Amino acid sequence: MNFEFSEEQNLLREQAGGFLGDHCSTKVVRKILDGEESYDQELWAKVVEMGWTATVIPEEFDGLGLSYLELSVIAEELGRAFAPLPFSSSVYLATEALIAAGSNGQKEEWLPKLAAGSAIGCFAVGEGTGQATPKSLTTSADGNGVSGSKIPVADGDIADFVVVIAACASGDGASAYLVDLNQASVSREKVNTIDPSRSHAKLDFSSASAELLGNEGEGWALLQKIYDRAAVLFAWEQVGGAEAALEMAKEYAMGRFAFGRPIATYQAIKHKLANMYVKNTLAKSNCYYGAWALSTDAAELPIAAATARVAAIQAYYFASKENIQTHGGMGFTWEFDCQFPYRRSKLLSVNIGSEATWQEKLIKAIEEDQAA
Amino acid sequence: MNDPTEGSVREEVRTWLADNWDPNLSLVDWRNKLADSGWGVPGWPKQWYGRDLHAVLASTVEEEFAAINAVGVARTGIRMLAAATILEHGTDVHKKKFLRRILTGEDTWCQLFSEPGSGSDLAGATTRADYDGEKWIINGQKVWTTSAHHADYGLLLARTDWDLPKHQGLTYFILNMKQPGVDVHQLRQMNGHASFNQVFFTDAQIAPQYQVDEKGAGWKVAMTTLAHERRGAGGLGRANHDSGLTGPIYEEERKEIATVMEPYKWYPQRAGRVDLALPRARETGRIEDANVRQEIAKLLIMSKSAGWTAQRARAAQEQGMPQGPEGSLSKLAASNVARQASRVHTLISGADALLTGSDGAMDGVIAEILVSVPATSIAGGTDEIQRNIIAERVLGMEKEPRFDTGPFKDVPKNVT
Amino acid sequence: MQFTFTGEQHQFRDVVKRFLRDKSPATEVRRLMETDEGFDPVVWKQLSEELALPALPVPEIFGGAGFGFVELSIVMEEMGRSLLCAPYFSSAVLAVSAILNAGTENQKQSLLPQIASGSIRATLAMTESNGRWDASAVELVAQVEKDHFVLRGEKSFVVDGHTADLLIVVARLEGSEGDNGISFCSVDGDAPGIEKTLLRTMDPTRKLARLDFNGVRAQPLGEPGAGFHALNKTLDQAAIALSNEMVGGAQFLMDSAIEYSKIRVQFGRVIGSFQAIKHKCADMLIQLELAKSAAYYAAAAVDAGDSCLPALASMAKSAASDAYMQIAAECIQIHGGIGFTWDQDTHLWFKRAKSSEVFLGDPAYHRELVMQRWEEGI
Repeated sequence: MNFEFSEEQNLLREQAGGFLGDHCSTKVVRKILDGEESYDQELWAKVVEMGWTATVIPEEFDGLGLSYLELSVIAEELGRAFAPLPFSSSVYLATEALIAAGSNGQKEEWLPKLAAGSAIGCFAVGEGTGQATPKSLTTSADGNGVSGSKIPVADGDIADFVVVIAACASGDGASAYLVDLNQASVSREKVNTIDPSRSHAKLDFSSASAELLGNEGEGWALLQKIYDRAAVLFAWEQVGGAEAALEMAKEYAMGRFAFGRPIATYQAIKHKLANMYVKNTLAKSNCYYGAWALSTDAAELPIAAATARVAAIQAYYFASKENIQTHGGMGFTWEFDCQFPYRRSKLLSVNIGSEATWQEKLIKAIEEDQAA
Repeated sequence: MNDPTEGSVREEVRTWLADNWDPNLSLVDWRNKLADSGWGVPGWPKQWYGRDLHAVLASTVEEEFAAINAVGVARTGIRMLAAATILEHGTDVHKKKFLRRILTGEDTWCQLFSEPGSGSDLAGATTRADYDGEKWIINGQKVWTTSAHHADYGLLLARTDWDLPKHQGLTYFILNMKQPGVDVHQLRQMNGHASFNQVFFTDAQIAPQYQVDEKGAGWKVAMTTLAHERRGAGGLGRANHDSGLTGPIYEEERKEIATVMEPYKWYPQRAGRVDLALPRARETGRIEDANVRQEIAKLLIMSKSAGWTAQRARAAQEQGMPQGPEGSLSKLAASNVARQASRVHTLISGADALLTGSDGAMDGVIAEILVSVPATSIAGGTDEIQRNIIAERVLGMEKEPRFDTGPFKDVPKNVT
Repeated sequence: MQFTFTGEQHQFRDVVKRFLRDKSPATEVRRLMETDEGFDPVVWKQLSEELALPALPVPEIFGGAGFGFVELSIVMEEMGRSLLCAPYFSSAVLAVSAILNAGTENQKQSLLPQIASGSIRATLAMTESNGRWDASAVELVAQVEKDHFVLRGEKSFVVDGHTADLLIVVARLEGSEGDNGISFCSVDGDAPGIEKTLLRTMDPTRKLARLDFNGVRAQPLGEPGAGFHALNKTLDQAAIALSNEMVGGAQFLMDSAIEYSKIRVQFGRVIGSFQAIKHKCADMLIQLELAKSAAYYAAAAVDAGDSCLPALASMAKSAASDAYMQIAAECIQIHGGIGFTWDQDTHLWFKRAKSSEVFLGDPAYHRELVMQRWEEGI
């Protein structure tokens, strides 16, 4: 693999960065963090208007039919801005699930709405304590629909539909189901998380009417496929955030004086920033590899996705915590912005499987690759 | 009269307690008796509420108080640091006006040293005190001030001369916090708690007699305060707050302590909650994971070793041996432990570590660990400053070249 | 539990330290590491006769000096610091612990006095080419004949196994498996049927040998088949002694790095005035002091008969191994290019750090033991 982003893609990056700089300052993030709103609706409307939600949706379903490289560029910029939007749930997860497994009817029903931003989708796997496995699922489907609870579901409180991974009706394995959230047999309750700038909910289904998405019993395989694809996009968001944290730390260190010098002139700080830069750059290289694999449907995708995801989790967490440390005591206050990357890094480090899970996936993918 | 011995002191205090201790007294009344008799702070000078007893004999007195659950003098907050500083550097006017009410708990004190622009570099303070011919006029801002919102007085470090090098232009004052020129705002941390305050001065006033020691001696006096802080002179002393003792005086004392402790509920989480690693790993089943086991073991070993290191330091100190390197490491070791603990809790918990408050694992305690640990490596001196201190003072390595030795007005500094 | 050394212990340390400073300078280490024997018999005689160091852990009734494990650990720490090349760990720690833990009174009486006097050097042969340190990994078979064993099998990584006068061998009874059937026995180093091979290892300062037993006649030590607990206790004690040796070596390396950083000038300043170096040194100090605390505490726990000994031993072993390796790597880094040269002494200690890290089980193995032992509740 060998690629650089094209001129158009770099232009898109500039445009996206500029747009978010204007419309998604940390004030906007703070408004969602402090307030009751689940996401910034005004910003969402503008993002939809820019066509970002339609990026990879095929033209026949009213999408733009662009590649995952364009979506990677957008993801990185959204991550850099800590955008308080349901973008990842709706675009990287729900849209992907429909594209990958939806029937033509399901695609026709939902994809145009997702592209136009008139519907927001979300994705529900986890059920609380511990990592979900096909055997641990207590949410299940029978002839009457889906029953059970999912927590935490990102954007579950505001989405229009959810893709639920549940034990299947036949009782053999897991299946994916499409569930309209605007029905009486689904109740949703907002839950508090470590990153209040992104909303989460607990969803309770009691015989909620549901449509099978993809084939019966193939839900777990579908989940793995979606996660591999989404992991690349999440990793780009993480790298964007990590770069923002480094930028914040650098700017502060160059302007903050202690003992008559900017603290950036102390090796302790200088080397901290250098270490952040090295980790970010390595993670970004892995993201390039992931983006290439995703955009070309390469067989290496599982390896590339896991590599990007693990490196991005580590880089973002490191950058966000060292950013706080660079700021000293004020970095730990509510009024400073250091909490945004820190909280977001913690959120993104577990929401589609933790670092350990992805390390495990990486090892498995490498073993399979070598066996092949 | 003969010098007091352990036996004579023990007998004397026993007799006095037998005659005077009464759990039905009000806290202030009882503490006034302690101040009058000298038994509340027996190590202090006789003329100032003490008995001039050596530290060893003073602890004998404390044992006797503990034996019958007698309440002691107030020790909450930084009052004992204020008292120690006043005893060493204050005038008789200061001692007369402040010491008794420190002991009785009627006045509360706060420490006004750190500023937004000078945390690690404490001597870089830019809060100014200007003399207008009658009084000092204070302008500027302090931060990380514990208890400022209910403090009566503050120990203030302010700049009185901008032409001298930075350590020489500081003066130490006692500031009345209840005056129009003093504004106190709570400072909320990123974990949502507010344990500290910011204090703003706009033409706040101090009468000349409340200057402590000479003009320009502020750094020296502040060092006295900080030395007592390091020696652990502050804090709660012997606290009966969860002793289950009943009686009006205990209720009053409990309330006094609870008020002071309220902002620190999250401190155990800040330290990483090593105690929860094994139970959480069992509860989640992650105890079966080989990698998780390795990380938990690292944490346990690190935490145990840090504990033993502290015990080595204490034992050496008790034997009167010169302090070895083990004594200066506890803060950095605690940072390492907290970081590893946070790592372990992240490893153990899956997505449920994200949930906070009543939605979260262990009622949000786990999530609170994750958002509180970053404070450990900052509060009370950053890890970077601790490493400098260890390298320079313990290992004898050369200091950084300095850029801040000239007149303070010419030293590059933060714009506040 | 004792948290400081007593005045006598400090004095004792000084005596040992002075002796080793004279007898084991780096030039001697370099000379001896090139030899097959790996030690100087004259120095061995001096440390046996003048300082009576081999007698230290042996009770007085068996001809020893009857000191505690804390004193033994002081000696180990100092030997680690000076990187002494001598069969002290093999004879006074491994073999003596094994005999004391496994042997009967009579056997102790017959074996220990000569070891205590230093006139014979013994060692313990436990692990085999599988490199494992748990009892169940022992494969060498002891066939029981009337009053003796016949040994068949191999032992590897035997410290000073090629030069020892007396071998204490861990075997298993024919047909046994797992923790059962573990038996100790003693055999002369030059008994017929033993084939000894000096192993080429990366740490030439401590010699390891492979021993092949082709029907070798050996004397049982303690009850045949009942050696499991004695073996575990011996391994725990050995790990603690080795941990103390390791913190001594780590201290030497840290001191040498700091000393160098105070004289080496770059960009017009000694490098020790740069935060990058200072903070590395501060971090080394923390890691070292914490590892020392674990090693000292565990040594005191042996003397106190602490029931948590197994967990404490594993904590000390993993903490000391990690600290020694980390400090060895940082020491090379602080010395810069010169630190990687043959002429600079750092690599001698680095190699000892590496071999000690894996001997008796690597840090990951011991962390797993800590978990198992912790879960059982210590």
